[in-house]
Amino acid sequence: MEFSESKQAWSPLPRWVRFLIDLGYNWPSGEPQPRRIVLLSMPCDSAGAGLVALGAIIRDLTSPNANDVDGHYNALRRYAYQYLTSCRPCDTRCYPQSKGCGYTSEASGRVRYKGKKIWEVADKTNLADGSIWFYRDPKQWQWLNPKYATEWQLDGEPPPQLINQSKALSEQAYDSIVDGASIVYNNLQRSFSALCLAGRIAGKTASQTAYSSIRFRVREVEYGLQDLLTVHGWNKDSEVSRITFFNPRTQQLDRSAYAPALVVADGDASFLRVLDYPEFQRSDIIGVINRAIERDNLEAVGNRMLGLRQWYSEDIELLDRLPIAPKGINVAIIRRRAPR
Amino acid sequence: MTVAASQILDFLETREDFTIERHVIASPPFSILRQSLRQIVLKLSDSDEEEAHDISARIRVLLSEWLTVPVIFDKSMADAVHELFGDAQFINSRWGSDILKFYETAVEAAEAISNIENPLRENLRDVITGLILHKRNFKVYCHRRARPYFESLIDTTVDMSFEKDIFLHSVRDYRETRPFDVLIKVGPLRSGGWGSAPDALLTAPRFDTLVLFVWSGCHDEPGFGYDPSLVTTSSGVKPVTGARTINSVPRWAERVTRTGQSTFCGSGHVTEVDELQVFKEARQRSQTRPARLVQVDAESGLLFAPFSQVLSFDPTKGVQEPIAHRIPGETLLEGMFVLMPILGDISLGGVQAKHGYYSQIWKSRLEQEWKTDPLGFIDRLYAGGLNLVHLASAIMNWCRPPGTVIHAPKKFKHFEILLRVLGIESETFINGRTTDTPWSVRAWNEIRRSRGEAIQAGVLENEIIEEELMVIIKNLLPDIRNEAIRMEPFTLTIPANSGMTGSLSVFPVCGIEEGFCVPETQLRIVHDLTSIDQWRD
Repeated sequence: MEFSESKQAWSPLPRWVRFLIDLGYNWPSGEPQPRRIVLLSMPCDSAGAGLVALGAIIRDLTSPNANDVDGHYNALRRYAYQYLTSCRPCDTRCYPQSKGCGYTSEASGRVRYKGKKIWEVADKTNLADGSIWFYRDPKQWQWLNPKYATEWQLDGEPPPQLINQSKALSEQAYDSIVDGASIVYNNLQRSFSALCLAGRIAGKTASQTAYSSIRFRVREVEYGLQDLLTVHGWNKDSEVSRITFFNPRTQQLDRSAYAPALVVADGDASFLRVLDYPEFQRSDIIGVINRAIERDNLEAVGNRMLGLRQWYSEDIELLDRLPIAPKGINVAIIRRRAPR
Repeated sequence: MTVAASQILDFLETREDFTIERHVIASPPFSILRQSLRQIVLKLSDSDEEEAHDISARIRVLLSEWLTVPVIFDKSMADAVHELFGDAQFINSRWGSDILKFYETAVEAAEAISNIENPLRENLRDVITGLILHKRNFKVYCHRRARPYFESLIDTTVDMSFEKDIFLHSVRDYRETRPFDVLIKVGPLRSGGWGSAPDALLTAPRFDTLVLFVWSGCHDEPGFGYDPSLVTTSSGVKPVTGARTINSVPRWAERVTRTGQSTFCGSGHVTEVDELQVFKEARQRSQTRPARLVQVDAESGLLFAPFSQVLSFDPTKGVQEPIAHRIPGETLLEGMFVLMPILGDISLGGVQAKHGYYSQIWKSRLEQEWKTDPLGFIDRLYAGGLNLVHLASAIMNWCRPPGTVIHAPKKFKHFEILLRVLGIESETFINGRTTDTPWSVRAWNEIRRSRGEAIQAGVLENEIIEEELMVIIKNLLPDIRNEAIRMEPFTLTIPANSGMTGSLSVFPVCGIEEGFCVPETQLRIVHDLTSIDQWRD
């Protein structure tokens, strides 16, 4: 597998890229852990956060349970409930945080059937017995059959599972980036929301531009980092999304998912936003910052880390498990202390 | 992302150690000059007189510049010291014998060094010539205005086959530069103020060798080379976890070369003190706030509080919001323009200051004086100590009847001088009775009251005006775009049919710099760069 950055010549994977991908890939998951916060300080601007996220995506692709399919029927029921009881009767513009309705984003009531037609949650829905109905017009009604729930997707969000299987993610790409990763084939056709990438503070486009500078080549086929990250809407070849995107500028998640287990933040400002965001208070956080920035911004991050020390301590155990960082990359890991 | 991360990380990977070549320069007469001026600064800063603070600030600027810029030792240094106090014969009576003694010593030392070459420049020239001869790729980190001093050192007769763009002025410039061999810097390593530099010089070097020129007694700021990832390590800055190193902090080896004689002189021992640190501590005690400089041409700039939202124009084609509020250094960048609307009085039916009792009296006398002999009146005000730059237009403004406020000088001290020159300072007979409160204080209270009311009303009015203004400025966009091509400051008149009167000043952003501490009242005002230097701490 070859690597290229900023349209430079193809070369073997550099050590720093390998280190960051491995960090994401080896990040502990699946077992109850104390919450961890990582600060990776880079000597320059880089697509480092994207590479850590890529490693974590590959880790999740190897886990048979890492998909949104199993919980999709319940997600649709929750969505219908929110729409009918809270969002539809609401007469103000949607600012859930200031309204304090308990939701993080609006449920428009619209769903797509088999990725195409738009339907809407119907009044006929019986929230008490859990039978959900959708309608297109007064003559077309459909009952949400739990068995076929994955044929329905929330409008504006990725499908839980592909309808057209030719649009599955490339096994070859992920398989080659982490040697020996046993990719579960079904996962390449399924979305997953327990991993989150918090982009740059300048917004989604700035993040996309930064990640597009990194390319991989496997057996003459090229893959851009921005496509491999599978952020919803970035990859034109596949609709499956294995990562939630958090825009730190607008403070919006790109889907109404459950709280992610791991958030990777790109840049100092994004890292600080993520640490404060209510939805991420139980998530592990990996912040990747460029330390060639103004002193004020460095101190803002440093003071936040120092402030956390009253509840967190240095995670020497995990630090010792990591490979030696390439020169120029500094890593701090803190772990929440067990309650006494 | 102009430089590929791989390029930087590959560079770091291949280097074992990095070197600081520290040249410590000493010069006995310069040490005496430093010590004398430092003493004057410290003594005057304890005073509660504005003039003392003004002189103290100007000396601070002079000395800080001499310590961080390769200046030429010439007559201008002695002249600069002379100018601080004006006529030497009044120093004793005005400031006392101590200040006079320090002043005389400083002038003597400044005159003595005007006959010698600055040893720092001598050393710096040797280093630069050597680097050019050996075809080493070097850069200079300096403040934008220090650049000519470095340029004057480069011998144009030598083969100039080195990279032309050798100057770095900001952390942004540093971020965008590719790895090179040697970085030159004058002055100690500090994160803010005179001679400031990014922490990344030490934590993320893009060069092998840092050649640092410092005057004896000046030290690097403790904690320079800050990296937030190291603050949580149990061993502090030592990045060690157990037996293994996880953090790869660059290792620096330092070589110190001392040049110049010891600082003993005939009259006694000259104590070497880090003036930059002393001034920093003194300024921290004063009421200032951090600020960023937006330089708008070669001579002037504006200061903004960090994270200020500055109304600005981005000339880039296809940009979604060319007119928007942006943060200096973050989203407001070089090549963009700062927009400063200067509005005439706008009546939204809000507060209207009344003709106060006192204002009617002093304004009528002012008007009378102004009509009779404007030039003579200005001279008398100057002689009285009211040394405002645009005094004539200020007087015309003060003559105006009350609008939202009673138009008057901004400072009480200036108002007192005005009353004194008008000859109404001693009147304590008010409304047929005598009073202990001076007339000037009562008149000033009347002005303050009107300003307070205006501020309260202003909060609501500002929101309405802001919205309206954005619409007007967006309508002016084609004109702004046309004029902006020249990359020079310009002014547009706000169309009369817009409902507002006034003008829109547009300034190109030539550079953005951090590391200023400025009084709140000096923010968002166009100052010349020499004045701005006093807040570079």
